[in-house]
Amino acid sequence: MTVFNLTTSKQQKQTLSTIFVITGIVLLVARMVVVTFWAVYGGHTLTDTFMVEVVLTIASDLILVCVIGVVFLYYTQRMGTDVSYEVLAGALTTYAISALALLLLGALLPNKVVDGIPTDIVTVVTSHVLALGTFIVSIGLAGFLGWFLQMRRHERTGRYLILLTIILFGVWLLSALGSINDVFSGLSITLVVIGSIVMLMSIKRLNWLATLTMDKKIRLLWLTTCAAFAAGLLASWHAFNSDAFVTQSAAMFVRSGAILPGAVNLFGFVFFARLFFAVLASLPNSGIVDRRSSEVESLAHLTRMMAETADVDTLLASVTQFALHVCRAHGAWCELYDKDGPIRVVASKNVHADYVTMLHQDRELHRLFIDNARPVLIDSLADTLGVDGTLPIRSVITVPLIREQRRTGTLVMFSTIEYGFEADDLRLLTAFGDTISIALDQTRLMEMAIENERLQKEFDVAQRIQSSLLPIAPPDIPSLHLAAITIPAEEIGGDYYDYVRFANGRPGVIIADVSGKGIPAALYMATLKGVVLAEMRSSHGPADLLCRANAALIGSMEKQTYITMMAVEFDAQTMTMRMARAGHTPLLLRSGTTIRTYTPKGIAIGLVPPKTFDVVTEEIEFSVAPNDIVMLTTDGVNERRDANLQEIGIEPVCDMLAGIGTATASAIITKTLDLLHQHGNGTDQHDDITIVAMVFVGDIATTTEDERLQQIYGVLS
Amino acid sequence: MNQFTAVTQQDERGICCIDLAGYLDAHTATELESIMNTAITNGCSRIVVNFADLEYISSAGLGVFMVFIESVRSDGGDIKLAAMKPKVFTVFDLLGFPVLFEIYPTVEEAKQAFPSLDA
Repeated sequence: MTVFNLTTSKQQKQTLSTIFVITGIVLLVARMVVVTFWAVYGGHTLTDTFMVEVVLTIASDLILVCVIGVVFLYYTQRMGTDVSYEVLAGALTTYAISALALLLLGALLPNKVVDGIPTDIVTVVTSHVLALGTFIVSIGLAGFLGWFLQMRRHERTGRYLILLTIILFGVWLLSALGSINDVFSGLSITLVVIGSIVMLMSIKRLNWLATLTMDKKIRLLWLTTCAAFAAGLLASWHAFNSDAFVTQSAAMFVRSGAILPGAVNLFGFVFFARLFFAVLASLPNSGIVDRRSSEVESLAHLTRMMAETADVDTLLASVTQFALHVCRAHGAWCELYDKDGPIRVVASKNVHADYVTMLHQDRELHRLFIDNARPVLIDSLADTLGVDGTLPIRSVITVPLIREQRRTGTLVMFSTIEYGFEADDLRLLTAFGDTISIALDQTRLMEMAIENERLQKEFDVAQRIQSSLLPIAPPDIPSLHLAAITIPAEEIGGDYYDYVRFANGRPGVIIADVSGKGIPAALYMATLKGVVLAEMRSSHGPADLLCRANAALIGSMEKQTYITMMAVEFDAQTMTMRMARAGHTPLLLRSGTTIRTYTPKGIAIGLVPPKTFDVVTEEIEFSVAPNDIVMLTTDGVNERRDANLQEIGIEPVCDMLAGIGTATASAIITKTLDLLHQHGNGTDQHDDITIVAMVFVGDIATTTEDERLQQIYGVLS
Repeated sequence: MNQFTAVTQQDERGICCIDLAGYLDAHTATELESIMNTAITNGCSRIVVNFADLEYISSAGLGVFMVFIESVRSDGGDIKLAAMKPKVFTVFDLLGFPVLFEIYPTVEEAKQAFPSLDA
């Protein structure tokens, strides 16, 4: 039959159910009308005319088909969803209530059936309602049993279910034939007994009941008792109480109609009884099951919390709450021991932090809380530690909290009665303690990761700011081509270079190196930039600028910090350079193929007061010619190390300059960086590198070749 | 990396000699700082730093001497530097440290440079 196909869509099933219900109601009303006219007004018994009996029987059967159809559709839809405790409890409740209500109705309603003839319309209606109720409850129960057994099926369940169905039909048939011969009635009773045994054998796999919690089991016991009682009552009434209105109604509805609900409810009784004993048998281990399930739940919850909580205090609060719940303690708190600080009480439950502090004044309690390396259970504080017996805290469990292999705190659970905990509580809390320690370590890692990310962001900002402090492009200076680069060893550095203009209007370059690296160096570098900007326009030359910078900075620098700096001034008119040096790496001049280094006297900025600094700082002057190269560097260049920590020295750079011939300023920087790169050979750069290259060119528009040669010879001579 | 070490010895004249060896850079500078701090808080104000076995010094290493020089001098003492390898001396020289510190070729000469306490 395709309409009962399991794959029929939900909507089709609903439509079909509606059709069944409407058809059933229409048929029921029609049947009531027929019975009313035939029996009540006509005074006939329902069986005395064959035609009427056939019509009534067909109507009854069709109504039953409708009921069976609806039940079948309902359970095919639920097929596949497992029978949970809630479903079972719901079904038991529904069955017990409806079955008992039916019995009550049958007992209370006036029964005016005389010799199989209902004597008034009310009786017709009530008997029909009772009969229909009986069949709905029974068929519903049968459907539920079938579904339940299918869901908890074992290898013979299918065969048993078919056998039970056949037995039910057999019982009905034999019961109908019972009016012919008593042998059939006897056979019918035998079949019912066999059916009950088959039912008993079908019920298997009830182990899941053992995993239910105590109160669920208690509820299930009560429900199975009610359901078994209702089923037993209904079954026995149908079997033995043929005068009862319920039985009579069923018989008037279907001939020998009482036997079928009787059999089904008997099976139900067997089922409920079996369930009752299964639950009863699993009761003694309920405590253990409860504890285990709540342990597993708590640990799982704890693990989830670990993954979600980044904040230690929040985590400890949840942990304490959980420990409290699982151990059924009266109160709990977490105390943390910060380095050299006071004991910090967090997450106190049912106890005030001040009270905990007060407890610590007891030497024995204090030692108990902070000293134990493993979880400890004290059944009686008064007996074990001699603690004042009037304290409300009588028994405790302490669990040490470990973070980074260091004792950082204790989780304390207490009870206000002696022997308030079991050994199991201690075992569970030990597991808790380990998990909490892992969580604490994890939160620390998380905090570190967050902190690192925050620092990285700040570094990024600092890096952007610092690079904006350095000049973007060299200025246009007649007869001079400039290029410069700075490469910090870390995100930000302490190297600085800039293009300046002195009081006399001549252009110049400064280069500086703050001792140290990173943020402190970068802050000094930014300060120096401010000083240079403020002082350059009133400076009379390189030495003056250095002196002013020293005077401005000396008071505000840390003792161990200093800045090396060099300033040069270029006079394009006379092709001369003036320079001064404050402890900085020497200036390199390439002239033809010779290299000269200039190291005028000078001490780094920030070391000595102006009165010494100004005297020491020497300013020198030298001439340059077109094609000459001047290179300013920081010590990150000559101190570039290889894997064996060998520094490159300045010589390779000098050799390169001597041999480079004519080159642009940027090409010179590229070549220098290549040299450093080769030497470094992939090792980390450990100091900031800054290079400023200056290439002098002849002013073609104003200088003839002869003049230029003269200039060169003039310089060389 | 050559392990940095700094060992303090006090002679009969009360002069502390700190023997340095290895690499003195930003990482090892804090170590030297604490050693010098210990020596000074123990009452040593006449200090000779022996650079004979020091292979390398970085800018951060130089800074350490700046931290203490002022207080030592105000106590009537001094920090004198001695026996530098040429490379190490170059670093000091470039920075202009000879203006600030007395630098001697040998430890003995440095010790001799301290006036005797009786004077």
